[in-house]
Amino acid sequence: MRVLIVEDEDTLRDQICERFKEDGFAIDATGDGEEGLYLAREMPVDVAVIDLGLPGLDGMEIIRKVREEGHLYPILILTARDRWQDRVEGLEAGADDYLGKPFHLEELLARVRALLRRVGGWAHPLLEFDGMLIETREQKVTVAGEAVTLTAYEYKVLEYLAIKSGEVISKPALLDHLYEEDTERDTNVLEVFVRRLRRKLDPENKLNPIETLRGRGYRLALERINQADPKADEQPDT
Amino acid sequence: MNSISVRLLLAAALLMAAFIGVTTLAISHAVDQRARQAQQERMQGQIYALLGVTEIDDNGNIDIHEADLPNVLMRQPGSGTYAEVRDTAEQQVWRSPSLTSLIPNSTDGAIGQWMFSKENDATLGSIFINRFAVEWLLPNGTTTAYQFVLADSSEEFDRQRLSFNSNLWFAMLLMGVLLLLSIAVALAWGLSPLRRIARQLNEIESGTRESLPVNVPNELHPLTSRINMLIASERGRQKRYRQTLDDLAHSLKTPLSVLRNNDTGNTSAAQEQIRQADRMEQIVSYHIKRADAGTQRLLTAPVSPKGPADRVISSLEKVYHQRRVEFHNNIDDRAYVRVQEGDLMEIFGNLLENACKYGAQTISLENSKSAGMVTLIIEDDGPGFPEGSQEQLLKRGERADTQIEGQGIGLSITRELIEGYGGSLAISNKAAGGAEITVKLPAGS
Repeated sequence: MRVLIVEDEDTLRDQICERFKEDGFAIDATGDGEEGLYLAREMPVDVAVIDLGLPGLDGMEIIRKVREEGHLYPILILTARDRWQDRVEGLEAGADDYLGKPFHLEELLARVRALLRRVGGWAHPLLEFDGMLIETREQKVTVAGEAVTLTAYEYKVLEYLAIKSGEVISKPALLDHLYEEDTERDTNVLEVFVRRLRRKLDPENKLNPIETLRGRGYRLALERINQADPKADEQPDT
Repeated sequence: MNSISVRLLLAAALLMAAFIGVTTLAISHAVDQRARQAQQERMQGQIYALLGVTEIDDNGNIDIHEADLPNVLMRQPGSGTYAEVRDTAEQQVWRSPSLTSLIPNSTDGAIGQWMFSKENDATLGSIFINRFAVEWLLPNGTTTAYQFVLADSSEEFDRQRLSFNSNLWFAMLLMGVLLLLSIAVALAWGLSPLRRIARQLNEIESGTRESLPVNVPNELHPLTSRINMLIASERGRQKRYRQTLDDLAHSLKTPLSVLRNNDTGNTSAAQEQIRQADRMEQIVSYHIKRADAGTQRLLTAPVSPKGPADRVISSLEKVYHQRRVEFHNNIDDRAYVRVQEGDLMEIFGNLLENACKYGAQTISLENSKSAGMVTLIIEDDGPGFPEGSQEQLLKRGERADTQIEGQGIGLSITRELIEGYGGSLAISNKAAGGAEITVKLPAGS
């Protein structure tokens, strides 16, 4: 998952980046509004965290422009102003959630994860498939009731495909959303990872969880199990 | 009575009535006097003429030839002009052919004196009477006295006076009405700048106008320019105040975020540091919110609470997306309150988010209106307020620096905000379960 972080206070931005990196996110970060807008337009962002009180360009303006240009990824606003009017205007401008400063990093992370799941139509932090269960909070994967041990990178690939299950994700797109700009990127490496992942998830070749669509990319083909009670996931993960 | 125009018009009307009354009476009186005098002089002339044709023999018998009478009317019976002569014994010794009875008698008046009066007689009706007593030297050398009396019907005189008076009153009243009308027009014209200013102030309140125009009459210029200055400085002050609060919030809360999220290990000192950071955050939040609450009281335009409630509701629906809370906003959009839109959002935001947070599934908003207040009722089907905690929840924050612990400053901030506008906030639990919050706000026109 690729997250954009626009926050002008360096220390706070570093803290946020560090925490997100720990959790396996690819990160674009800046403290400047103009640069924030550039990144928001140009990067394959999955979710954005934007501070409203920015130098250069106001956070609200970034959100408005990004939405005008048709980008649909979820946006969470950070702000020290906790007036409802600001909150309402931010959400009306196109943001999806709101977090007042000061906040706990864990809460920020939980909210961002909830937003990401919402895009994929998931209400729970549990991604449940026919034959496979992914617990996103603990980053645990169970296949047919048995825990599967994955490397951090393998997990990232699986989680991304799982959240967007049913969609075809091209190899470059998958790389875009998992790697930062400066990292060496190679589709061959990705193919190796996917092959290993398949072997771990489906050693006997019965489940075939990840389909390869020649020339188009990968798709998680397992059937989703509908989550009947959305209320179980209120203020999630905190 | 509470209008300058009405006061001025009333005063003008009273003055006008007094002026017209006195003037008309004075004119009427002067004209009356003049007419009586003319009448008297005419009658004197006729008496002199009568004296001129009177012949008296040695015995004192009076003889006046009918053909010599100075006025033909004296010859026609009942003509309205009558003459008689009385002797010293007050006996009628001669009367004109027009007279068939006696003219009312009067013995006052010395020789050579005129006595003029207006009297009512049973047979002659209303008459002017002019009496003149003369001493006559008889041919035998003795003297005797006679009273010559002339009576003239006042019917025509009275009719003319009446007609004159009614014409006079009519003209004067017409003039008064015209004057009052022109005063009313002049007042409307003279006071129209004031009315215009009042209207423009309304427009400023409702946000369709920035300031009062400068092209006003000279007398009002100091007033409007001061009001403009006041509005401008108030706007500037509010803006600076908000900005300062925003800057303060930003510059305090961002470092607090850093402090709170500092990875300092799990020692008790680190725990304490985080606790203190949290405490500071709550105190800062509370005081900034409090300082922010209702900073824009001046020139608050009436606004319907429905719109702000709708905006807050769609925000909450976005944030609490997975809750699928059902909102029913039944607030009448014709119910207006005099509260800033931002403050209305603050009120709805705090109250509705509380309901969402504590597990309500259906939240409904209603309103009623009474005696200058709009009452908003927010009901939900959540767990309601903990028994016995209501007072505590509303009170919390009275001494914010010592009392804030954990969550719940939202309600007391909201209460302060509402009370700042002269409204009230009450919370209770419904018998059937769920919370009921009653907010009263001052109604706008």
